Amino acid sequence: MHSAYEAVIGLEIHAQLKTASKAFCACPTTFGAQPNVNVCPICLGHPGTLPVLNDNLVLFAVKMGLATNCSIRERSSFSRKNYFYPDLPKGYQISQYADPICYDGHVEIETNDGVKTIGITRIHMEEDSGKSIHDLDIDTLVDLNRSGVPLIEIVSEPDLRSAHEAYQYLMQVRQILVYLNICDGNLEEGSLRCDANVSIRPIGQQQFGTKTEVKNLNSFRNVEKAIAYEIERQIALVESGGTVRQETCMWDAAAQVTRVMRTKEMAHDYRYFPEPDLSHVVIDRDWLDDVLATLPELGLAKKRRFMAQYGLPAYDASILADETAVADYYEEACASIPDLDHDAAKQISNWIMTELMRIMGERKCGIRDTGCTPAQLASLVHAVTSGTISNKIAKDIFPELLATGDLAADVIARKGLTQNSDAGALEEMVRAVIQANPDNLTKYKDGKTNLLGFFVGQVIKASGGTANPSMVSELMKSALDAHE
Amino acid sequence: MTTAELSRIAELARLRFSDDELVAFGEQFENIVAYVGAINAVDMTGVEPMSHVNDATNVMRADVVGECLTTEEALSNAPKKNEAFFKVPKVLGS
Repeated sequence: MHSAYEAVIGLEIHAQLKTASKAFCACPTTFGAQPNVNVCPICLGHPGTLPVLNDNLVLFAVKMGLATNCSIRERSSFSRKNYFYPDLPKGYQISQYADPICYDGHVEIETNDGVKTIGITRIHMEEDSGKSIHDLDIDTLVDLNRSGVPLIEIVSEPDLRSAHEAYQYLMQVRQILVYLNICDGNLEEGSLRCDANVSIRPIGQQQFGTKTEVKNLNSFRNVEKAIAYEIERQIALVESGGTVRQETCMWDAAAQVTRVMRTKEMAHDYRYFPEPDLSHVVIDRDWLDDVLATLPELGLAKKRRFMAQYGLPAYDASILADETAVADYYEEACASIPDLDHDAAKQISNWIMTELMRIMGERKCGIRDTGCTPAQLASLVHAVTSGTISNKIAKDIFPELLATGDLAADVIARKGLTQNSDAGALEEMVRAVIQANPDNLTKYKDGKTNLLGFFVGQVIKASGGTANPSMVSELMKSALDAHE
Repeated sequence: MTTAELSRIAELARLRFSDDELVAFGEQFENIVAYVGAINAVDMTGVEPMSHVNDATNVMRADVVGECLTTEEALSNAPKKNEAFFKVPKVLGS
């Protein structure tokens, strides 16, 4: 590793908002529609049309601001960002410039070195451009369905120090957006987009190095890879006596390298000026309090509560809390168990993280579509923790729960699977198994004590799986050790 | 205003001028800027920049989907198109 340098990284995250209609007109925002069907004179940029602000754009931006500890600006305005590109029909993008609606926030990320606070410089509202397609025709094709779809841009402070931290921060921002139900958070489909500003400096130096901007980070893994590559590239460059130039790079996922973008189109002189067609947005304090009151418990808070309330390990808690549907399912299952203790709470977690998530992965479905209700899972775990059945039997009857929709107690009763914890009966079976296996008994007495497992297994088998395994193990061990 | 500054402004606006035109526009530009510059003589301490003549705030619409154009209508004024897309000269890069 290059211990002499540290990386300084800031992310600009564009989140497409889940509004029904576009930012400034009533066209739908549906992803994946036929080209040029969700368009009207406003988002086509026809002369003489006037934009009208979508109220949900303001609401969603404010929600994100509150969820990331931002100050909400009492009065903010829109500006025109001027540049020419075929997928920007008006010749300008409506955005916010000097007075973004949210500013000075932060989010927490959990790193290997503990909790780290990442500053958020600003969150502003803007509209998306259309889409240019360069590789289908001799000409460039333009689809304006996306033109005018509402975005928020979330700009972080340069507080990130490694590619992995940048990845964790992006995942945290994504989780908040999804928890708030304001963005799909899908990097591959482009509902979440991320650019990174990357520079390096000798450790101990206060001043920032020259930064490059890395674009085209279109998957979560690519974000980490591209930034890591760019850091290494800059360090190698500086160490060989070169200097980093301020430029824009594209991540080439196929070649796994960053490449400098042709700079011809990048005028970087956007000549912002106030948008005269939109009124200022003024935030009412009472309205803001109402919005604050509707914010859900967020992922990180939920994770910490799961650890405190259910005694879950951090790993379990963060997996369960990552998605609200899973977290809600988990809590519903826990609530169905009488006198829930930490052991039962952990077992529910185990079932969700193994069996249910396996089914979710196989069927690409949500946790409510796995065929196992929270009540069923609770009944199964309760049957184990109360000693009615062994874990092994629980695994065996799980498919039947899925198939029938029955509670575990019903399946257990129907199949006569109640765990046998009758010490007298179990001792009887232990004696019979020892008598039936004199050779192995001799070997055991000669020191092959790992044959204990064999003897226990024979008892479980003889009981049809109902014998309480930990009791059998204890009884068998003392019986074998006591044998002359 | 130098010719270089003027060329830069023209380039940002995607306008092309001959050298003679640049000189002529340079003079006109300077006149305009000088005229507007008269405002610098006014003491504007404590005056907020006015970005709107209209005092209205929070003019918004409810987030409800309305009617769109058909693709045919949307493309009807395009100088170059196919059945679904606007066509423009090849743009390299992205």
